[in-house]
Amino acid sequence: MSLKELVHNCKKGNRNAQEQLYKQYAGKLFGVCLKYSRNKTEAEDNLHDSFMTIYQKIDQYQFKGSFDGWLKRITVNTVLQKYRKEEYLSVITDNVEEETTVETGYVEVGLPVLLKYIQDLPNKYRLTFNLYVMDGYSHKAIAELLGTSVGTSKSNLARARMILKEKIEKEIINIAL
Amino acid sequence: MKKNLDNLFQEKLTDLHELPNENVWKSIEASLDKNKKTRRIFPLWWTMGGVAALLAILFYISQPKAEDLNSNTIITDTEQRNSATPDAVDENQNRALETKEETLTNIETPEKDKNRTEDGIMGTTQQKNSWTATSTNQKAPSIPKGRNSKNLIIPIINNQKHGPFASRKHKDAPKTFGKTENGSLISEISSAQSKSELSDNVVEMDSKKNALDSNSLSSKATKIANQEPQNSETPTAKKSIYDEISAQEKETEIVETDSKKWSLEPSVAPVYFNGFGSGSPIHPDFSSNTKSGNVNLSYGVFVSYEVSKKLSVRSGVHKVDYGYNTNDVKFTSSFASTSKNSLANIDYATNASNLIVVSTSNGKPSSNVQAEISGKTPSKNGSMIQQFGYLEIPLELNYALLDKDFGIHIVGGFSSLFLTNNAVLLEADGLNTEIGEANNINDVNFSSNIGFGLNYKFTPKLKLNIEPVFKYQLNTFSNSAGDFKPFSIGIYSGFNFKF
Repeated sequence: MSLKELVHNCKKGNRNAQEQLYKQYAGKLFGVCLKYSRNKTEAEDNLHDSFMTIYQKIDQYQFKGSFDGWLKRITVNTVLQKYRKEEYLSVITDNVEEETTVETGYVEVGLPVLLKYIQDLPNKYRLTFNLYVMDGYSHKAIAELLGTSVGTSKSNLARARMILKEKIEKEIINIAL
Repeated sequence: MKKNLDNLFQEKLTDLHELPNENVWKSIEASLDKNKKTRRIFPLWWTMGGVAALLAILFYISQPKAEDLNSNTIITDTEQRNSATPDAVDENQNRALETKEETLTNIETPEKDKNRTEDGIMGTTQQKNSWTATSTNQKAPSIPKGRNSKNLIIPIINNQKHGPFASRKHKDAPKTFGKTENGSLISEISSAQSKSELSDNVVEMDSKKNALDSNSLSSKATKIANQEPQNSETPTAKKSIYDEISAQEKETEIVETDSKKWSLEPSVAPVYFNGFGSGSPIHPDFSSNTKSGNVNLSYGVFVSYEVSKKLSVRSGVHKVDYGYNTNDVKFTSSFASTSKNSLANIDYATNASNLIVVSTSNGKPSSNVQAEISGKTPSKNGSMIQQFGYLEIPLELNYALLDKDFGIHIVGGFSSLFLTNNAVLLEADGLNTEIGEANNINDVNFSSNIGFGLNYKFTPKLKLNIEPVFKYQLNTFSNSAGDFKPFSIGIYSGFNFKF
């Protein structure tokens, strides 16, 4: 089944097509959910919600732009909707670094550990870090998506980086010891 | 070795690909099925609404017919009234008879001025017929003239038939009376004549003709009498006027009650809301907490249509508020990362986004918040109140089990509830703080209703109704932890006006 056929059948509400779409994209979108969510369980919840939105809105997809990108945007938006309202974080205005380096030595920090560090970040730090670092959104775009200001977005990113750096360095020391 | 932090994450996580648990697809499938079902609910609901509307329209259309029927009955009434006022007719008839008697006796016993009297009297008879006709018409204008005259002719004929009776009566009656009456009649006739602008000659000619045809007239009349023998019986079968009036009143009463099928009932009810089961619509953490229902107010109006004497359909609009408390919660405010413990099912108000609510019912609060709760920041013990308000549109059937002055009925049906108000509050030491609103309450929700009612009829138009109704909410929450199944019990009371 070609992508067009698949999308067309999904628009009709064909269950087989919906399942095929899920099988084809669940892995990739679950990866997105894992990074943006607080833990695996919530990531699964978010994946569920994202697919429900995808099936609901698939008739809006007009084959303009990549289908992968469209699916990912829906997933990110679904997750953002869930977390963006849930907390108020203090804003730092000074010492916002453009780049953070971390002393890793020759130790390799594993993917599950890095993922865990991201998941443990407070909602807005995690969302900002993912949007900016992983998915290349600008601070302006992030501010719009999260309903904050560019300054807050920069501050959130800096905070996220600080926390991650601290955790990695601790982990490296633990491994080294 | 120094590494750029961003690059470190990008390398490992940018194209993160992981297969989710198989259960995710199963739950998606279940949700898709559920969506299909909910999609089905709406057309079903609309179909039901459509059927109800159609019924209402049909009833409305049939209403004018009912009115026609009523007016028909009224016409019958007037007919009955006419026949029911036999006294008046009788009087006329009697008067006619009296004169007729004389006429007949005159004919039977022709004396000196036979022709003259005959002429005069026959003229009188004819004129009398028309005169009595007009006089009855004045009393009952809806009766056609022909009929009246017919009615009048018949008694006359009867008299002709019952000759002996007439002659006997004539014998008994003093001659002077007959004369005076004739005289007065003649004067009336003459005025009638002048009114109808008939010349005396014409009348005389007619009279003569009538005199000649008197035999044929009587034979004709007998024919008519034979054709309608029941008419001759009417006077004997007559009821007293009081019976007739009371019968009429009864009939009009029936007609009135028949036409009053619509009724309006403003009603008000204290409503108790709670849920079966031990879940929580707010968060799984509160599943085991005790919940206590709140009593709120519902008010609105019912409009009902009486399908039959026992069954009526009703709808209307009600404003209703529901609420319940989740007891044994502890809350504090937090500015930092611990706020990830915020409740997913609540959209926090901006001034409450740093509030953390935890359950104290299951012993310890969860470890993440434990430090914060037991730390320096003061925390409060209290309860969490969830409130929601709806605009309720019921569609219910009402069946009367007992329909006397004191009545008992049962009520069953559905309600559509449209969300108008939604809030979650924290309550401690008698003070309330709004946290925000729940994001898992459906905007449209249905309930199935069942109840019974007691009513007392003050007058046929006015009734006092008291109805305890149980309403089981079908889809209040889009997702709720555990098996929290909300219901409400309301005691609706109001005055029912028929119109």
